[in-house]
Amino acid sequence: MSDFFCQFHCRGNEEYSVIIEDNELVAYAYLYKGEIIVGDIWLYNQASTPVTSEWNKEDMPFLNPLEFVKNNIEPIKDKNEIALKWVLKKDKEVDYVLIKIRKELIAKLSEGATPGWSTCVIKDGPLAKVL
Amino acid sequence: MTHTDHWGGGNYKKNHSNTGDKKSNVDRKSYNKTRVNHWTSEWDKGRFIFNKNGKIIN
Repeated sequence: MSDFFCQFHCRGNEEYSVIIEDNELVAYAYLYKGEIIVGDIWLYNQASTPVTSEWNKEDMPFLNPLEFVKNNIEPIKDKNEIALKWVLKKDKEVDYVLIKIRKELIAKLSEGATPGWSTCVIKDGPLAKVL
Repeated sequence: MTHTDHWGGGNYKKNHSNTGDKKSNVDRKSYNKTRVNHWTSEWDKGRFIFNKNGKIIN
């Protein structure tokens, strides 16, 4: 098991940033506007993918259950494995952010999208929608 | 420009100045509080409502 934590600022609008956290169980990306989370997306399970969905408040953030997972990628080891593409609107607000891990498009975050979108899920769920 | 031209071989950072690769300077305690509050809020909004068979409703 390995953990990972890194914040990536949007150079086009420093108010926005993305934090990617792997807590040794599960990894998520969060879109921040200032100090507020305005979007989130599940990235991968590092712990074994649960076969059944057992949602206990104390266990958040949740592992994504098997019924939703199409492709569970390897954990991030280094920030250089990550590339973000920030797409801004004309008013410099963030339209969306694409997250590539090891050159593969994995996720999309957008303000107000909780959850965002992932290429690693087979159907829409509470942790990710199909990208 | 092809997909490879755009993303490959380090080209993405050459083509875009806003890739955001600054070292993290986030206050982890503050972050943890924000993250916990976020998930608690999402729970309270009913994001994880499921039926008795464990299937997600929304």
